[in-house]
Amino acid sequence: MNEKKILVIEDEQTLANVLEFKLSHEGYIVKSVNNGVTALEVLAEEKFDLILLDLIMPIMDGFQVLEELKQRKISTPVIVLTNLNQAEDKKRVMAFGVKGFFIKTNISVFEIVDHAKRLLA
Amino acid sequence: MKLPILSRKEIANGIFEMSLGIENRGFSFLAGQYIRLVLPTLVKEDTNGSARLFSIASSPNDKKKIDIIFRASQSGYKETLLTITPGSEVEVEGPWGTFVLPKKNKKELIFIAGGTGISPFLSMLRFASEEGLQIDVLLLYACRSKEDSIYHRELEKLQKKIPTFRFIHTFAKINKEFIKSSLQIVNGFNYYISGPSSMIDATIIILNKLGVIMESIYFEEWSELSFRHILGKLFNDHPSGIAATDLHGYLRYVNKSWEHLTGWSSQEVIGIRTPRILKSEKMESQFYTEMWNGTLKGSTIRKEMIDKRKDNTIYYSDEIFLPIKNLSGGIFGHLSFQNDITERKHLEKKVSGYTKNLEVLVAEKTNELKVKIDDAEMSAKALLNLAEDLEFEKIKTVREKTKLETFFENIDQGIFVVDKDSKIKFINKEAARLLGLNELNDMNKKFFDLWDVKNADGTILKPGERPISRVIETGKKIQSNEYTYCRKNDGKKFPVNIIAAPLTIVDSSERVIVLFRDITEEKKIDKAKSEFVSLASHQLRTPLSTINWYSEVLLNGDVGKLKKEQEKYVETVYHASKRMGDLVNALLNVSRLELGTFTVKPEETDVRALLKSTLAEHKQQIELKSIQCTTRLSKIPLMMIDQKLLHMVFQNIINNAVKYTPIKGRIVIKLAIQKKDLLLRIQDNGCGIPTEQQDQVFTKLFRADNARKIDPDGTGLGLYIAKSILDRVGGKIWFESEKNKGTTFFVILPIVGMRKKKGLKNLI
Repeated sequence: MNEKKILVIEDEQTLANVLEFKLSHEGYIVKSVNNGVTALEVLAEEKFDLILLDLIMPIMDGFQVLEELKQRKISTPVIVLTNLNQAEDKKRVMAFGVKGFFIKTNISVFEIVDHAKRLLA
Repeated sequence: MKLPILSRKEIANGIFEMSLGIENRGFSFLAGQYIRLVLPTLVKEDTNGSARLFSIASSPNDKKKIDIIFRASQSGYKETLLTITPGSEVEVEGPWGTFVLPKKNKKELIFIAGGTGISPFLSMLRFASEEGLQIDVLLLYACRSKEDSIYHRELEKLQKKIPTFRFIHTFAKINKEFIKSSLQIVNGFNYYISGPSSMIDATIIILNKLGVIMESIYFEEWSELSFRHILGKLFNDHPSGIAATDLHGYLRYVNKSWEHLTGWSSQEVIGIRTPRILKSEKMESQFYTEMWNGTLKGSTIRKEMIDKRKDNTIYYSDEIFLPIKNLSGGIFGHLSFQNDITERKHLEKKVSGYTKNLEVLVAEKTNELKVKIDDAEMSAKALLNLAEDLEFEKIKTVREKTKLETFFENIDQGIFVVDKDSKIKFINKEAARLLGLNELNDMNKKFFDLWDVKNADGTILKPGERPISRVIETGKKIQSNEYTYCRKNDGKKFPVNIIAAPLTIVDSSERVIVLFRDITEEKKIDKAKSEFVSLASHQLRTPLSTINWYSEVLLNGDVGKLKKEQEKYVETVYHASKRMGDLVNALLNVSRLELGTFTVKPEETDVRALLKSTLAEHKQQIELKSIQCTTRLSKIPLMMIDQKLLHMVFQNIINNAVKYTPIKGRIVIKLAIQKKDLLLRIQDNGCGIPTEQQDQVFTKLFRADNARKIDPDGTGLGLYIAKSILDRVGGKIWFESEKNKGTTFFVILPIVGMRKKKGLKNLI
């Protein structure tokens, strides 16, 4: 089992689909969930190599997920993908030591895949 | 303005005349109006200050000079005037007064004067005699002492020159018997009264008792310097355009916002009738008549109007008209508040245009993605609707606060006056209500024994930091919405917008007038709006992300290779979506600019390097269009600059220059220090801005007709954003342009750089 595993936490199904599609194409095993609570349940059972995390989600948002990961000492690298465009949101997220912060409308899906590849190489 | 003194002579015992040269300096006077003479050297010696009102005797329209007459007194003012020799200059402000001799005199005039109130009448009579006018005037003149009777000789002379002029005098106060015995009948005349305010009030009451209606009584409320002075203190920096007129509709006061809104300066319009200036062809004359009659009856009228600026452009304005009453309840003028709502109207129109375009494009191209675009459009509409609602709520709150019923007492803003020990000397009803004080019992109590003033961060201001102390110390006005009032005994608090200004006209002691209002609601709305915009723009971007990513995948052939025609269509969708993304970002910036909530974080910056790197971002387009770009960039010492903000300014101007310069065109960029400013000059030989549209260039969402043809996709927000940024950081932007020849933009920033400002949000 040499394949790397990626967890996509994204409530917008169309976006999750295209990420899953592109990353699978690159040979990764991709699982996607649509809220923070489910994500934490999955993370409790499985180990992943990379997390792609949305910020604004129902039930539990991305900020809370980052807080929980910190508390549970889960050190999987995280890339935040969001459409929140405020400097203070970025600052708050970067403080958790995430490996990337991207505005979804400003970045192409290929750049995200490249970034993930670099992190997993 | 300064005017040279042409001559000076003594015309009767104790009455002097002075002629001032007027030349072509833009004054427009009528005989009998007032001007104010300012003698700065007298500030210390004369307890009444350095300025006096004088009435004008001759019309300068023909003679290019004005004659001023004044009565000798024992004051230092007279001494100074008498030592000024012809050829020297005095400062003149005006015109101020209201007594204008009617041109077509239908009714006979009765002048009623008390004491030195004779002066404006004397001026008008002298003017009439010089011009050979036959005016039917009866003057009733009350003077207490022989000293005042020095006017008699002058009046007698005038009586000989103007056969239709008569005067009757009394050494007692004006009373009913004197008026009754002087006149056979009282109705059918126009009465003009001039004198001390107590005499004016008493005379009006007498005339009313005799059955004379208010409409035929004119009196000099507006000559009182203090009244106009206080209007200025209260309203000069008020965000609404405010104008005050007398009963005849002649403008007597306008504030800065009014000048800005209409393009007229106060010097040009004081003494002119409002409808003559502002009336556009889109408003019916009947409306003005109705408005006038309404306010004369004491009503407050609110109306959306279409007005005309000095340059004949039209603007939409939301206006409130109110009567101004004196203490006895008599109306002696009107006050109008107006807010420009043109941009709001345009914004509505333009944004609906944008969403429509997008709709058509998407509907034509692809059904699959249409659902997502509709989502985007829905969010855009929701965003705009909600923003609109909030804006309206805000305006409403402000409006309600500024509504006046009677002038000071019932004004819906808190007003109080304190002396230098913060003892309360005057408080109006609203201030008493907001502060929980009693207008009688709490008089003379120290304000700071009752209330604290807190900073934005919640710390109580120390005595020296309080706005009132700072006003006393500096003599300058302070305006702020950063403070909170906090009651000492129970901790009740509310954020305030305050204007504190020195008040030196009551007497010579130091006093401060404070105008304030509770802005709890406004702050709440601003915060809600800011948070809403942030979240709404997130929602708006999400469907766009889907469009982008799916288009990318399609174009990459990941789900099967597209036919050429299909590829072209998907590309169009992709670009439209990218444009929508740009528009969302720009709109978000605009909403922050308008809230005034963006942060300014200056740091030491090499402006030349910043400009070079901004230019480098445009290298590709410059090369693509073979534009010859010349730069002359002086080395600039490090300046305190918010790089992100200045970068946005540079980016918008350079981007325009590149966009509107033709292939093989030319751009010249110059950066230099000029006096105390940094000056950037960007010249292109592009399409230029049509002359008739030049005044709209910095307007939100505006696009010049020729610019639209060259680039149909522009947002019309770039220059608006650049100007808003420069306005906030103390810079300036302007341009010179000629259609088809090119445009030169100039940006100025003080060398001292930008000042740090806290804000809620950063611009993107």
